[in-house]
Amino acid sequence: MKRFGSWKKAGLAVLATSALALTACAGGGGNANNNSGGGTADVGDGILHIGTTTEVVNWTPLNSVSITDIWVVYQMYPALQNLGSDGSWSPHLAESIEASPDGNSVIIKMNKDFKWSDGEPITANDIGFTLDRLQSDSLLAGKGFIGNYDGTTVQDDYTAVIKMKNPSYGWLMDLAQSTYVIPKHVFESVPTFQGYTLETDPERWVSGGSFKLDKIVAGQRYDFVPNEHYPLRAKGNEAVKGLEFKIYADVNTMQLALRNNDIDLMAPIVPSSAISALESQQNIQIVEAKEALNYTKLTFNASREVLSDVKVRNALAGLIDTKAIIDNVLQGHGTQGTSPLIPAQADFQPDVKPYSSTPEEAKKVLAAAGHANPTLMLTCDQGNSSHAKSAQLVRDMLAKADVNVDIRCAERATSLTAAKAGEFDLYIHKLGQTNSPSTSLYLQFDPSNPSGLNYNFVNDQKAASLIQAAQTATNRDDYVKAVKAAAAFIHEQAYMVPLYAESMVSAYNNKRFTGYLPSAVENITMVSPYSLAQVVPSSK
Amino acid sequence: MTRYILSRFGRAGIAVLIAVSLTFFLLRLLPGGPTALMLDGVKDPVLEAKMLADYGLDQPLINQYGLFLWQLLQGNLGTSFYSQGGVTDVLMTRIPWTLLLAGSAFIITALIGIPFGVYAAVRSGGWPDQLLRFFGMAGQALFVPAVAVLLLVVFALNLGWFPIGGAIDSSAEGTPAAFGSMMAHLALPLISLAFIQVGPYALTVRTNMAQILGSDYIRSARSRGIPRQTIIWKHGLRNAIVPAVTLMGLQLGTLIGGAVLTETVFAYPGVGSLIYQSVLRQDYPVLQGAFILLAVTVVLANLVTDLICIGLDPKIRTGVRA
Repeated sequence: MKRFGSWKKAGLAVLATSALALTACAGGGGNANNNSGGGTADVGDGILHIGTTTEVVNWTPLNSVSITDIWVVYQMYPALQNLGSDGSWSPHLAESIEASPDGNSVIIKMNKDFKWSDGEPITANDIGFTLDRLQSDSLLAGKGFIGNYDGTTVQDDYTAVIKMKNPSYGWLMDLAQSTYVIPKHVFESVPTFQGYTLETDPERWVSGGSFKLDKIVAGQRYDFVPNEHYPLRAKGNEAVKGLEFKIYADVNTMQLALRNNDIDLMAPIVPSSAISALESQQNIQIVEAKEALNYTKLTFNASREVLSDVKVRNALAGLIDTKAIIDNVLQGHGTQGTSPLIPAQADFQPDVKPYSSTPEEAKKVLAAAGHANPTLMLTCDQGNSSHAKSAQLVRDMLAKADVNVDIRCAERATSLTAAKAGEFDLYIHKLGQTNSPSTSLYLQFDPSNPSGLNYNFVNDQKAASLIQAAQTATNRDDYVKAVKAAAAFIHEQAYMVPLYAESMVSAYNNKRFTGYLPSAVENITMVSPYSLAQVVPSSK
Repeated sequence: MTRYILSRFGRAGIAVLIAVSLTFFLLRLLPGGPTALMLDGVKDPVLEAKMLADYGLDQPLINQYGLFLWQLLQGNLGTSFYSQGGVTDVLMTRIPWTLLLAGSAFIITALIGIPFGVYAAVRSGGWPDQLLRFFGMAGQALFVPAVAVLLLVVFALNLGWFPIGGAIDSSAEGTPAAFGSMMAHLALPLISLAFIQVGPYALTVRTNMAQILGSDYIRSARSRGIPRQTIIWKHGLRNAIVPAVTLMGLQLGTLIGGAVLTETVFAYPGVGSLIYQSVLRQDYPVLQGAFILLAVTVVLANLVTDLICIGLDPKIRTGVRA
């Protein structure tokens, strides 16, 4: 009897605990606030809290390829142009960027209202200094295009003439889309950026963006204060008294913080699996940029015997149902592509048809090539759940043609090392595509490119010469024609299958602020200096 | 006695050396290396060679190891590959937070685990005993991040009692509200970490205590009319606590391992979250520094528990075996 009584007490305790938990779970976000009615929201101390996923690891200006570094460090270095949600570019620091009449130079006319946070004007000297240092210091931000830079002539304080080694319309686009400007008067006394870090040099925290770095709290956050001289601030943005980038290593925790009104904005894009859960919250706003500048590809290693035959590559490519992958992996938040150029580059698309084949056709092609029932090794970054899921679908799709796919996805460093060494047959990977169309092709399919990466592991001279023709076209009409020709040839060779361009889905909390501008790339999302200068208090 | 303590110090030194050496070599077995991630999307052999030379990774492994030990003897933990900052400086910004979290969890585990274990042993078979067995198993079975996320959803998101992530509100820094903010941020990571430790620890105390309470000398004490509380807390616990103290030292390693996950989920800025981020980047010097720190802490904790055990049980000191 005594034993029964003890169990009864324990049972009651468990029931009480469960009831408490269930009652708690039934709430729809304890601090959630509906954003309706007139007036403006109470923004409290006015600090805009932004979630980021990791600490800044490289504080050298213009020398990091890490997205999380770019979100924070590039707040201080203004871009020549702004990127919109549809992949279009609009003036920012540069009012216009045009080729010179002889086609040998690029003429940049600047917005005269831009000033550094210390009050110094941003001039053509800063642009020249930036390009010189990208070249002399081998900074990673210029790796893709600086090789064709021949020098800057300062025509007047607000006009820079950039001379090219080889005239190229594509290079003009690269320069316009990839250049962020650093202050000459601040950094000219730094002999080299190799080994230099801003982290321990607060006197050089000078910004030409809308906010200026003010404090670094190791492992926790980065504080920014407004740059009073930034000229493109929206009316009402003065309510934003500063930025605070808070570090949440776990993106699930960051989502909870967003729901809990602890942060106002997530810098990273929202994983597809989390979109519907966040969409259902009243205090969360989801913004989707569909014309995203990225491509997730299934690349064929054409140096492998099975995949060296273009007919085999074509047959296998035709078995991949990219719509099914977008629906299953991204829940529809992606765009199908056909050619090697991302769908957002609509003006440059060649007239090509999607790959198509039946399992029976593929089996015949494989048998004719002497490779019936082959086993192919597929690698990808296991940390990217979309890639890992895509790998499983690709395996199932190719299995219909009796192709056995051995999935060897691994953590990022391992998969990168394997890919660079060519230790794969199939590789699922994602590439940002912020370069001009010709440079995108150059960086992917011509092994002589300065990044030295060509995951097809084949030196296709015809593809290289077509890309070269595009790279050296000096006017837009010739350029478009040459890019289309190169893209069409690469498509015919089936070096890769474009799986999808993943939409840039961002999320913000609308309780205090609104007005963020989405962009089409992951290293900007909604945290560009221009976007943050458009943020205003929400209406109640 | 002196000889015993000296031998313990000697063993501790060897344990640290082994841990340090294993850390050094195991990190270098990781595929890719730090340049693979730094040069993501770039294949530039010249630049990569320069980076490797700058980091000293172009040297033969044995030379790197020799240099590493030499620097270590001088108290130099090296420079982070990424931030270019001294590893000692990087660690010093994180240690206070981990000390606060792991230290608090350590103390909470003892404060709850010992009385709970004793009570369960005294009420053997009763509901406290059953509850302890449940929590003991749950503590061993549950995955730290699962507990952490559950706590976040219930007590932070839904009830709104605690903040989500971080160690202190920036607005509270330097104000009288700072202490309250720190405690509010500490609460959930601490509960999460202590939850998985308390059960197994209390279970150990309970098992030892139950054995002791059934022994002849306890029955003899009862027959002599010694008060029940004196028997339990003085005669019983003093003997039952020795294995529990040893376990405490051993559990510190588990506690710190748990702190890596706990700090990551709760965005707590301690050594654990630094380790997590440094693993992803393969920042060898920071990882080496962090692991050396943790190895020294665990070895020292075990040394201290050994010395406490000597104080509690003279048989250990004299080498008499039961």
